[in-house]
Amino acid sequence: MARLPAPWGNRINRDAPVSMAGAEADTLVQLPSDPNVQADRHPISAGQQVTAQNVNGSLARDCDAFMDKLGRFMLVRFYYRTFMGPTRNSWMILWEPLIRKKAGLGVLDISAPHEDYEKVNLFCDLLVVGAGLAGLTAAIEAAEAGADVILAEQEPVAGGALSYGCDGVDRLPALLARAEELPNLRLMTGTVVNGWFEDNWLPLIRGNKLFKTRAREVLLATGCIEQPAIFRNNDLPGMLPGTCVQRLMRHYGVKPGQRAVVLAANPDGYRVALDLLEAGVEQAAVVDPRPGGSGGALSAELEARGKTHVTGVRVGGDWLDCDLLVISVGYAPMWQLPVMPGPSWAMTKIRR
Amino acid sequence: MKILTCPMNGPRNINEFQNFGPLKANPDPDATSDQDWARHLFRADNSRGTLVEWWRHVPSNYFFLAERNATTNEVIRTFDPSELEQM
Repeated sequence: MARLPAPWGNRINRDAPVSMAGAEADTLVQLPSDPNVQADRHPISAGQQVTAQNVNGSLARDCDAFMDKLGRFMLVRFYYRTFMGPTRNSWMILWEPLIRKKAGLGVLDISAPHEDYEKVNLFCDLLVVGAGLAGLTAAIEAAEAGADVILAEQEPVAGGALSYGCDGVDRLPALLARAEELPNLRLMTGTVVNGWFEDNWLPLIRGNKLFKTRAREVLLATGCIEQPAIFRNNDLPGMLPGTCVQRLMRHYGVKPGQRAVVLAANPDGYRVALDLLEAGVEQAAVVDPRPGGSGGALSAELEARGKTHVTGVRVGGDWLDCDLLVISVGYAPMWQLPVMPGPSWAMTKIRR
Repeated sequence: MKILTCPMNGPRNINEFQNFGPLKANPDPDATSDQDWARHLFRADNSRGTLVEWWRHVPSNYFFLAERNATTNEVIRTFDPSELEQM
């Protein structure tokens, strides 16, 4: 993955982990006529030219790699408040051009060929966002009751966690077949629901097409996204969330590493460990940071090393050699859509 | 995009409509000073809460009234001006 910036944070010139779910701003790459493309969201094609965006020189020999050593001096802060001096207009003539360059955003190609972007109006009784187990089941049930249903899924395949996790995979083919045969259920994969506006007006984006959708009702089944763990050097390439590892193996048939350490604070982490064994990945350790687990107090105990890729993880006192650290410590709801129109939010604990 | 229900054309997108300000009583032109007349024409109270407003469905050039909560932007009802005489 390219060395990438978070222009609003302090991570000038650091490598970054990926989620394979388009959840980070750190996988941006440059295509010939398209800057800032999310690498984990973009299907590759033959002869495609991809270049890293935030490097000085090449990715392998980055002249700005020394910046990694300065990480501890670069706190999270507003650039335009920190870089004020030494003279009154230093920000405009000195710092801003420098930081803009280092922020590593892509280059616009003014002579890029013309492309058509179409708009389509869609109407439905029910829009279900997310075609995981919950979304598929709800959409099928509503369609069977006679409603005109659109089921939007941002991944290229429907099924959500069912399509890559090991629990309940066998339920997916039946659900997909049922969704296929219902004429009043439209399944739109590779479609991002980009906003939620007044009276249920939602823009759906698929490739170069914008579907201006008016729904009578909206049902969110967006699921959740895995959270990173906080420890030193936790943004080295080679550290992947558990769901990302499963996506790589089950969707793309990629062996994510040769020797793995699994940080598992929930049952899903252990499931990923089993999946890795099945894929023939050697396992250095499974670390459980929970009280009573094998990891102990995590923040003081865990550290990673490596220059352009993770080469080792320290758990307690010992360094374990590995080229893959799987992090499975918790989930956060994908609530970007409902916070947009601004309803009040509450989390409810559900007993099972 | 918001939907407004026109009494004649049914529910339509809000960008087909034009707002003509709150409904207010016309003062007597002969008994009103120029200043008050200008105030009546060009100043709106911009008050919170529920108000009755003039709206126009532009493609059909149809004027009607809408009762709307100016704080929450919720449209309570829309009705034809002929109902004003009954009010």
